[in-house]
Amino acid sequence: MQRPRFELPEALVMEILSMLQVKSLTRFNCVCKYWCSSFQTPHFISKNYHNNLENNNLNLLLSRCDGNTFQPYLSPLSNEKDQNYIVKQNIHLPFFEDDSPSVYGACHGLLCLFDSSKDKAAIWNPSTREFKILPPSSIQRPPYFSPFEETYLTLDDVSFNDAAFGFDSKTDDYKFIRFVTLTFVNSEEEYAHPHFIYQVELYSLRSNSWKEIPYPDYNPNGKTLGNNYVDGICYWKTETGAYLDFRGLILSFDMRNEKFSVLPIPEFVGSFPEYYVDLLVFNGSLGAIVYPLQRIDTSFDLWVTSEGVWTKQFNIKSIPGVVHPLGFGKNGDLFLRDANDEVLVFDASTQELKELEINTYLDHHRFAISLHTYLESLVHINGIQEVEKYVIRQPTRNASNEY
Amino acid sequence: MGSTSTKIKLRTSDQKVFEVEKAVAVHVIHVHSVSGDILSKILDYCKKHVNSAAGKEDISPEELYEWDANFVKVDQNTLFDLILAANCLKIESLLDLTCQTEIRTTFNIKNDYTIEAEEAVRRENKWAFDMLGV
Repeated sequence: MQRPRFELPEALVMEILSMLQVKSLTRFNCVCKYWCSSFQTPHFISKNYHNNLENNNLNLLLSRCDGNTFQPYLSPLSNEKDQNYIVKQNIHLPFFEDDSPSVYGACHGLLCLFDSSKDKAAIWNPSTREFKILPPSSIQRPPYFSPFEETYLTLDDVSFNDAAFGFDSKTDDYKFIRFVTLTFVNSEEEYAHPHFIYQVELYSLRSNSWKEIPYPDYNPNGKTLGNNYVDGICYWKTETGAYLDFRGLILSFDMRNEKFSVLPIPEFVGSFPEYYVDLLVFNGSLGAIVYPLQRIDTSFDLWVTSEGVWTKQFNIKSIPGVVHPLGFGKNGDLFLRDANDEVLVFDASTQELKELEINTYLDHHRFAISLHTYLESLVHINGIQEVEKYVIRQPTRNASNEY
Repeated sequence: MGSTSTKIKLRTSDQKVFEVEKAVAVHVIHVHSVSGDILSKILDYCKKHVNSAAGKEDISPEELYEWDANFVKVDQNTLFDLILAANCLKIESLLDLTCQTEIRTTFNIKNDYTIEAEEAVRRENKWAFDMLGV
């Protein structure tokens, strides 16, 4: 019996293909030239990303540090058929050598990785395995004249702390913004007193270049849980710093007009010093997980803000033994760190707290474990395919034994 | 026949027994779901590829590519059975070959790649073809 051959309209074929996983589409590059070039059009890439967004095809990455080698690595967490999250592969990043990179994003499935102690950064699409190394910063470091010591000081160190990665919809460009700390010392003195100058620099993928941005009125202070970019704007925790008027604030940067702005955090959300207010992106909006400093049996409030209005989304009551949230995964699962720095998952629907069987007890610097999520995407970044010099993927023993 | 060519026995779904060299049948897994005809074709494919890789047969990449193209010029039912068997026996290259042919046939697509161009695209996207990969 002959199986039917059928003529499908080209548009329909592409519509169906746009619903497939990136890995399948990558294989289908070999089918014919037309398919290969179609998959690279902005229209197809956008369609595919939109499908991933609608189906919430979220991938999870845990950033951790090996307890034996002290090398940083990333663990993709997969959960199939409602099983507990497992690690089938570990991703090592020799590009960053011994330093644990900070992970920013995701934005349209892209992540930005950078070393805070060196001028080393890369944009990465983990789905297509494209890796784009950023050029070193071209920003002029200003000289520092110390009137007290009546001499120019020497630039001793350039370090980077807070950053953000996002998209400018006006120019269809991906941008990376970075706060720089310049340390100046008097090289003549034995125990030199350091002086600091701060700068902000912005990288544009489209022009593959850096430019300087005027420094805002506030210093970013404190990490966000996972992504700190949503809908064209990046966010950082900051505060007024005034002694008797210490208030938590949010510093924001608009990727389109490249301007800083400040938002208040209302008292009723959570006030220092009684509460932690950890910023995060939740369901496409800026939000915060608020929880008390003191107790070990912690309850969490999730707040979300839109146009200056803060709404409490829900409360998770008293989870015993848990200390810090790491962020949300799929389906409302909340990842947490307990007093022993083990990673747990709280399933809000079943109210169950589960341990992750991923051997985090073997890790080093467990207080620094962070969770990152990204959607599958075909977005191109003018990079190269992952090479062993920069990225190494190693299946775990479970995965390679399993047939 | 020295100790270097160890033989392996395979029994098919229709009770036929094949004796092959170990190098040719790398995986000794259940073949009870594969019929004698299909297994015979598969062994031909494996023998051809192992011999050409080991240099036992003098055949250029282009000639091998043509041999492959002729190998899959079968009716759709046979092609389908080959896909299932290649999947069951985990013969990656045969699975690739048969699936591509099936896709192109079903969607009526002409492969407009040259051998070199197709090889280049495959190499660039090597990771996507890794069956065990995540």
